Amino acid sequence: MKDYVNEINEQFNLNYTEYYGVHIDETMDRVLKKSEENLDESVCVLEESRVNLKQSSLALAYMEIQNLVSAFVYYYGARKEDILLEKFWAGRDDISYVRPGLSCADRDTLVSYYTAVRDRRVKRLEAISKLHPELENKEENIGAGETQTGCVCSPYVVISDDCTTARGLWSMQFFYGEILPDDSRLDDCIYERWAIDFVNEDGLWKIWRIRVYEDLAEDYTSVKPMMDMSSRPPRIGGVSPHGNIEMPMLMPRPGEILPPKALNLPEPYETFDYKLSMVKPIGRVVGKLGTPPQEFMHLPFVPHFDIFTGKPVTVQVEE
Amino acid sequence: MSEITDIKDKAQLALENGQKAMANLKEATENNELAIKRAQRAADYQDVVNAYTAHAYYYRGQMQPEEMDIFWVRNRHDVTYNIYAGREALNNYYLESTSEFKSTKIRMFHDWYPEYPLENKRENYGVGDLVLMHQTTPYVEIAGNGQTAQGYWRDSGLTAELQGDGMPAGMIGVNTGCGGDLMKEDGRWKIWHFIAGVSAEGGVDLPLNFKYLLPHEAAPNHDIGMKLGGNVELQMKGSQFSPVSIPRNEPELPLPYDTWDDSRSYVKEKSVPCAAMEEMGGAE
Repeated sequence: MKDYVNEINEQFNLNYTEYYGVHIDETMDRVLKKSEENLDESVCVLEESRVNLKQSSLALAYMEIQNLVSAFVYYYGARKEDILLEKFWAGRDDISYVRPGLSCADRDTLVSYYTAVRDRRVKRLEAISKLHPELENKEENIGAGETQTGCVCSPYVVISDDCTTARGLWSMQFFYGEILPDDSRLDDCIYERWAIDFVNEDGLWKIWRIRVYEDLAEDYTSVKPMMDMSSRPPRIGGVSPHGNIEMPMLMPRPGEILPPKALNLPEPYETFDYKLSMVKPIGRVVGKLGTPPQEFMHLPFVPHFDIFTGKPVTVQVEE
Repeated sequence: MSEITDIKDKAQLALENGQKAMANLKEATENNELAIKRAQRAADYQDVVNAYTAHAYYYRGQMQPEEMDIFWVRNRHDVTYNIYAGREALNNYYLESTSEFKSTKIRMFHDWYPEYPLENKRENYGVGDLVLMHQTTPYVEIAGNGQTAQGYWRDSGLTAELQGDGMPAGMIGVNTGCGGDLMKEDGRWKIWHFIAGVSAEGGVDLPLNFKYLLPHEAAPNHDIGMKLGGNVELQMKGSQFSPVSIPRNEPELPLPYDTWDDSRSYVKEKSVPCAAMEEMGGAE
């Protein structure tokens, strides 16, 4: 890159004193023209650099989003809802967490749900500590009798061209164990798919919406050898802590092949549009097959309408 | 006068053009420098994940020598694999003992299945071993200086091997939290320290239940680990689930960092090969 300042000054002063007239004007024309060419060239270089920056940002965003989901599931398994809210959920109010039998479509509802979950844990500790006196009923023991590990698998991530939002689909496998207040056990292996919308807030990727599709949940305590699928009854309803309203549609019966359901992989897009969202929160429906635990019933779940369109949503509940 | 003004205007315009061009190039330079850093981190991420996946790939094929050759740090002695800390302990376990175990299994195989001729050579090592492990939940932190990295994974799958009666050992479903320190060596990411803490495992021929979790003390490689110079205290305790167990998640996720500090390593304990071997009556 030439130093235009010095070049122009030198040529201008020299020509002004020695060649005043047409010649100096021609010289200035050449200098001006050259400066315009170089300016155009610099604009091209700048545009190329912006493309480079965007491409590298998209590549890095993949890592950041995968890290975000892994960490979210890590703390989800550790039952650290306060950390989930503080570090991983977006700061905006329209965050959504939707799973079978549950639909939280704003921050207040999600916080209320997490509070209810914690209250449930406190009650369980009270009950278990009475049955097992060696377990003291105190703050640091909250969560006793519960274990969960989650495996984040099969990432499919699409980041918007403007690098401000992203959408992704993961397969998840959870091993879940819980001691119920009557000292009975709930041991599940749960296969789910998580459809997630992300938003970039101040340079950090955050979770905007999560929609959980529960594909299969097995009760370990009642099953036969793993290879014999015919002896593994699908677990429908029952004591699952979150209800199983969609499971009749998703759970395969022995011998059935589970269809992919209407869950499409995200496609490339430029900027976010609500129509693209992986999550369409709907009203919670309480039916015969999926009755959420009593302690969740007071929560202000969203009514039966699509929060994006405002139109009523009809949910088929198997009678 | 008007000509002079015109020339001055042109000169001023050319000057402004030059200043704009300089500003554009300055911004372009900053963009490209940032793009290079981001692209490098993205490439590092891919290489780190690939290095860990390669570990599983070679584990599946019981090809530990190849894995050591390509994906483990070569130029340092402080390499660690689970309880095997230090190059000597690692080589004892990862190269020599695993080969010995595999050769022994071929001899066992001959005894149990004489109708199947199976030459006792390296190509046949791993007979009867089954390692079906999926590497999931990657969480990777690359140091600011790009020279080291830490990663967390959760492995899930099935394992089995031949047992004393010639039948596959009860197939074990395993769910494991893994932590790894990695280092860039000769431009390639290599495994430096690696540790796995079993979170849940149970026999598949039994109802796969958390209550069948193996406690730490019953880990089958406990005695072998002692004999081979492993630091058994390094082995994470299985989180046996019970009514009174408190949820925990180990190993911990790595935190962002600029330059390496040993205090952040997934493996802080040192190898105790000599003492352990003396207690066991010396290495065999």
